[in-house]
This record gives sequence, structure tokens and C-alpha cells, in this order.
Amino acid sequence: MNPLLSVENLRVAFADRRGVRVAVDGTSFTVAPGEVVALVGESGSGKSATALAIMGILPDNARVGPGSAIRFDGNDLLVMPERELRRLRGRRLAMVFQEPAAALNPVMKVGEQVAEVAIVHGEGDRQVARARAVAMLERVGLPDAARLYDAYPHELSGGMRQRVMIAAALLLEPALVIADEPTSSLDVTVQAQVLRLLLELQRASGTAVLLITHDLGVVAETCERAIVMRAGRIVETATVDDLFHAPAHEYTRELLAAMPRIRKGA
Amino acid sequence: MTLRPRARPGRLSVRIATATLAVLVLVALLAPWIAPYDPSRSGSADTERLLPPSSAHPFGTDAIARDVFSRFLAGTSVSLGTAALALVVVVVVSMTWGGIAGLAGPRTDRWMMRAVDVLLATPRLLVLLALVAFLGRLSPGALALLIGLTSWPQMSRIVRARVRDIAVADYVTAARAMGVPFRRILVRHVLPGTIPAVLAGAVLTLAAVIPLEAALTFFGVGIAPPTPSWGAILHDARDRTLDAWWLLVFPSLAIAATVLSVNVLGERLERDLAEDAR
Repeated sequence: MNPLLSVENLRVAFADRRGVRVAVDGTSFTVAPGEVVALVGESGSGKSATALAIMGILPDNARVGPGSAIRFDGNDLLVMPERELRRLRGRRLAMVFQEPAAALNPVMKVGEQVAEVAIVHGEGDRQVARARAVAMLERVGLPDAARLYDAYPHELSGGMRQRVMIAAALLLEPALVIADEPTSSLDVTVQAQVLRLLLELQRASGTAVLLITHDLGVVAETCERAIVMRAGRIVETATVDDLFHAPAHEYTRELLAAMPRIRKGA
Repeated sequence: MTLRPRARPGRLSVRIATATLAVLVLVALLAPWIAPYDPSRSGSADTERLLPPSSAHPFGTDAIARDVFSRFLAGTSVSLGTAALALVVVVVVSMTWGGIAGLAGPRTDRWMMRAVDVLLATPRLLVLLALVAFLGRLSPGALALLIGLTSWPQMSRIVRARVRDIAVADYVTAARAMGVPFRRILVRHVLPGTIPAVLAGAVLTLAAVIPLEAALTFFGVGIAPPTPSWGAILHDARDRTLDAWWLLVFPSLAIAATVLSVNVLGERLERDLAEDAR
């Protein structure tokens, strides 16, 4: 099968007063339709820069190297005009952010922020968008969705906020969702629920997920394949089984060794 | 952040300022109904010229025998209305200009802010005088427009600074990731966050444009006679400051009281906003 997403020799550098810092240094990988792939690495390894480059929302001081390509649905996103990119974002390609508290507009009703995705992509007027948003808020397991539509983010718990973000990202059933550390800001008990929700919706709609995480426990539970990044480069790509049982790269072994474990009697 | 009314007891100065402004606004709104005389009607040139305050003419009469109290009431309407309209112009222009500059790329931003620098470096009074000389005498609406169009650069800087803070917020990135178009991001996600800063700036603007209108009209280049305004009454008093003190005192007091009250409330507002931001 043709890959849904194919990142080819991606290079991203950030320029600031101190000079140029290379965040992503020639990474290549693919994601197949409907696949759940983990992008693993410690902070600063270039995971998030990769995600922002795919979404085309890198900050102003970022530069993408020549010779890089990001093919999605067969088109190179890096040369696509902004107008067309905008139509892809939210509809075919969506993102769940790390901090739902920061990623939701504090002065806008949460329901409106979900409905907005439908509105800006011409998928219905206000009424229709509202109905769709309420239905989606229900699907992500929020109680009393019709009333919650009018709530502001600060009235919700962290887990509920992330459910709202997931509702917005999956509203139009995109082909690919990039989830950037979607659970690391949540309580441990809530993390598993939110991950399970993400995977349920993923299976129901056939959406591919690129799950960015530093948590190998999350990878083991959720993904089929994992890409291990370090210092802007990919050091290993393997099925999750191979990764845990026969890690090929020294760095992967170090990451595995660093995983906290609960031992009986310890 | 929410702006909510506080139950906290206000300091006396805040209460006085609120009451002063409330009375002045009420006067401005009700002027046509509470004025005892037609503000532009002249009385008898022989018996009613330059009368000091009395029960028939609480603020006296002017050089062409008009009732100063009636002119003052109507003038309150004109002065406050002009200031309010100028303020609206400032807010709209500065939010648009500052908003676009703050969100646009570095080149557009640099270009737009250089334009603001140039405008700020140009003495406003001089520009206004030149424009008035060119346009001739003005209606209150036209003067408000001119004052507004020359007073927005400072505020646009405040808006741009806030917009740049908000533009790097995750929720703006998230909105872009959802495919929300630039204009909608600006209007729905970015500008609402600038409102507290704009409110604080609006107070400063208001405290500046009220005396500006009065000064221009006093110099005879603002609102054209016979329309009354605080500045217009002062203009009529300019050669008689010693023998007709009532022409000078009442509009001067009104201007001073308004600017002082606005500043007192502005200070309170800024304190509340600073507390909210914590």
C-alpha cells in the first residue's frame, strides 16, 4: 500500500540570536493509512519540530532544508501554497497538542472551538456545526455534552480538556492525526483513559496516528511501529515487538533501561 | 481573564470620579431636554449681554447674550460625543493596524511599525492644524475623525505587543493546525485577548482627546461656531477673562473634572487588570 505520509530527508533548523540550531537532521519515515506509529525520543530530539513541519506551522524563525520533502496524499506539503495547506489542516491532517490547557483558547467556549473546525472547512453553518460538535463531545465521553458546549476551558479538568482537543482534531475524521505527547500533562489515572479514547476513535474512523512520546510504556500499549529519534536523527525504526525484545540500537537500549518499573518486593 | 464587577469597597476618589462622569454623561444625553434656553439663541443685546450668574442664568450670559448654562449643557454633549467618537476611531484603527502587524510576518510587521514610528515622530498638533487649515472649519464629527485618525499610533503599539504575546500561545498554533484562516484567527482568537490592554489604553486616549478638542476649538480651529462645546465657550471667553469669569470657570472645571475622573478610573482599572493577570 502507498504510504499516507512520507517524510523524506527532513531537515529543520531554528535561528536565534545565538546562531542556528539544527533540530531535525535528515529524517525519513513513512506512515501507512490507518497505522499507529510512535515517534519516540527524549526532549530536544526533534520530535515536535518534525510534527510542526508536517503540519506546516513551524514558527517564523524555523527553516526547512532544501532537499526535504513531506508527501501526504501524494503531494509535497513543503511546496504546497498556504491556501491549499490550510484546507488540509483540520480536515485531512490534524494535531492534538501536549498541553490542552494552553491549546484551548481561554476566552472561547469549548464547544465553539470544536464547531469552528467544521465552520472553517465549510462543513455546515453554525447550527449544523454546533450539532456536530455536541455529538462529537458525546463521542469523546464528555458527560452532558449539550451543556458542556457552553463551558469555558477553565471550568474543565485536564482530562476533559484533552478530550475536547481530541474531539476537535477528529471531528472531520482526518486521514492522519499527529498527537504530540497527548497525555504527558495529565494525571496518570487519566492518561490511560485518554489514550484508549484516542485509539478507539482511530479504529472507528480509520485515521492514522503519529504518536509523539517519550514514554515507552505508552508505546508498548498503543503502537504497531516505533521510530526512535535522537538529536534530530532517526536511530531505529522497528515494530514494537522487536523494539522491546531486540532493540537494535544502543540508544534504544538505554531508553528501555531508563523506563521505571514496578518490581514485586522492591 | 474575566472582567467582573468587584464587591470590594471603592476608595472615595473612585466613587467621586464615577459619580462625576455619570453626571456628565447624563447631562450630555439629556442636554436638549434640560437646557432652559436654546443654546444658540441670543437675548436682548442691551439688557442680557455678559450678565453674571443669576437664578435666571445660572452660568451667566456671553458677549452675544446667549445663556451660558444652556450652551454648557449642549457643549457637554458635543465635547464628550466628539471624544467618544475619536476614541472609537482610535480603537478600531489601532486594533486593525496593531493586530495585523503583530500577526504578520517580520517584513510586514517592520514596515507597519516604521509607519507608526513616523506618525509618532510627527507633532500631532501641527498635523491637525495643517489639516484644519486645509479643510476649513469643522463639524464635531469631522473633528472627532481627524483627532481619532491622528491619535491611534500609540495604542497600535500596545495592541501589537499584546498580539505578539498571544500569537505564540499554543491556542493560536492549535487554531492554525485546525485550518482556521488568518482573518478569523485575528478576530476570534487574538484580538479578544488584547481587550484588557486596549481598555487601559483607551482611558489614556480619552484623557488626551478631551483637552485636545477643547484646545483646538479654543484656538478657533476646531469645531465651527455656533456649535457649542467646552472649548467653544472658552473661545468666546478669550478676550474677557477678567470681566466675565463665568465664561472661563465652568467649562474649565468641566474639562479638569472629566480628565481627572477618567485618570482616577483608569488607575483603578489598571490595578484591577494587574490583579486579574496574576
